[in-house]
Amino acid sequence: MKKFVTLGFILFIFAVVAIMLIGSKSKGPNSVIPGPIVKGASTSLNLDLQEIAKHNSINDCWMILESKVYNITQVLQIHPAGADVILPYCGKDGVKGFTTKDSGSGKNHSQNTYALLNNFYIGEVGQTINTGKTNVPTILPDLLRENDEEFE
Amino acid sequence: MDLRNKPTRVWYKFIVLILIVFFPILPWLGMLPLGQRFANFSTTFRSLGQICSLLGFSLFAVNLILITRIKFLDKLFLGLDKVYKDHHNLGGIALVLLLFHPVFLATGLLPIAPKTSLSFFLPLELQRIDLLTGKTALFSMIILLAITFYTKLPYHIWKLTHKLLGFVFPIVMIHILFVNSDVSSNGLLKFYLFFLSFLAIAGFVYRAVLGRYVVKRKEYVIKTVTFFTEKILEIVFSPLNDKIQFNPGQFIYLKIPDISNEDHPFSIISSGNQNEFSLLIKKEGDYTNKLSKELKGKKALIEGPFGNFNYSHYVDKKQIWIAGGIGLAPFLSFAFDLENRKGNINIDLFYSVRDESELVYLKQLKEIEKLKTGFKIYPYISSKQGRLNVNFIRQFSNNCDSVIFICGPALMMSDLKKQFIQKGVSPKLINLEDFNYK
Repeated sequence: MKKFVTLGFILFIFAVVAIMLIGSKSKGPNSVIPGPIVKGASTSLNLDLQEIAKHNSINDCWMILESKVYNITQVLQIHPAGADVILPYCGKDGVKGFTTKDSGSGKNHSQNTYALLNNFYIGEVGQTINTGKTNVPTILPDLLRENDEEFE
Repeated sequence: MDLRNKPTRVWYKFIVLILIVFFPILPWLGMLPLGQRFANFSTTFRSLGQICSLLGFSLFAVNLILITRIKFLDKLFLGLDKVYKDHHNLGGIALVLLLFHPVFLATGLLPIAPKTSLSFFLPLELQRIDLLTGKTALFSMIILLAITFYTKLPYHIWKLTHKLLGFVFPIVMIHILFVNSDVSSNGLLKFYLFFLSFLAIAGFVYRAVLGRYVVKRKEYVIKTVTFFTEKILEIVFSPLNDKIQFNPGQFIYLKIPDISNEDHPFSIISSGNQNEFSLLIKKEGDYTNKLSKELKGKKALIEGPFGNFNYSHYVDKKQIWIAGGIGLAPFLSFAFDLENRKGNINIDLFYSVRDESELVYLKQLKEIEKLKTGFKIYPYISSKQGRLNVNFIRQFSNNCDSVIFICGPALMMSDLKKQFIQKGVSPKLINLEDFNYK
């Protein structure tokens, strides 16, 4: 058993070091807007409702939460309840579904999920942003503070 | 249960353990389609991380239940010595599973949110109770189990560090409560894990916290203390009130309040169900080195008996008994029991010691040999004849169907067991008394 535990410790240390290296060397949160770069196209984008509504599919999904716009395309891949429950909110305001786990328990998502969401932040509704530029807020969405009591 | 049906009995233990530990996976599997759980790299590693947490937590809880020393476990595991051996092994498996719980979760996030992966290992975030409790519990387990696996602290210090694991368990429970995952959204899973937790905490409190006050022990007085050599002594105990009922080969936990609050296991050398009983002890560690002639008249508290190391299950078969040093203790009780047994027997006792001066009770064993046809004793001095091996034994006892009992140093037992198996003896016929966990 000592050999088994020792092997476990060694693999654990290797894995943690690898994760820390990959995680710290990554260029930043994944807020890059997907899609091909068209030569000669404008490099700025206005995050109005019309623009946001264009990103409404499983391969390109943006969602609004409290006036903040998130590119959650990659989240669809790992969403525990599947992508289908999120799809209706792609290109729209997802507050109702997000804060109630729409078709699930009726409870809000965890603090962990809110923290994860920061990685996909694009900008504020109505904001004009430069494409390819990332911007991560250090303050969590107001939604989290409102719902903090549920976790205490 | 039929005590003689040992091979079947061993499987009962595995079935019970597998049912208890793997049960949480069933409701977890039912919550989402399997395809969704393992749809891609991220979901696969997330699922592996969750499986590790469910199994690791269940094993942790089971391990706390195993330390209760309740009679049911002694029967299910075919001896309390086996319970503690399994406790050690299951503890190691639980630790490794719980180490890989955050590793797999973090790995699953690497392709999509690499920065978030770091949060599983970076220093404590005090405002995040879920991460704070998870990291605290894991870090504590690593330190405390590293002490168990890699250090040789004095027994009473080691035991104190090991007991702290029982206080880590509630921290793990708080982590599960706050992590807001599948557990909290599945009623059956939540109920099961909290029921298991209740049993684990109850077991820990019963044995490790309140043991001194609630565990039933019988009061004896130390009648005589006799030293055969500088290090080997016999202590005779006389009951003050109720006596213990024991079978040959069983052991008890001895506590002598005047020398220590610890209790330690020793094999009974008396034949069975007498008013008084005796222990044969070798002074080897901190506790046994405190034993002296001055103990005569002192009060002793006895818990037990425990153990399933019993020759009488197989009296109709040819038997080989192999004793190494102080491992003679259970075989003495067997031999004294033989004196009262009628019918034919065919038993060879190989008694190995390093030096002739260490031979004890030889005169009494030779007398039983004269009185009891079919019982033979073969003393063996390893400093002159080399380490006892199966080739020597087979010169006198060459029956592949013999039931074999071995008690002695751990290396000797495992070595002899391997040799017997290599010679074609079925492992089911070999019984070891795991003396050395004591």
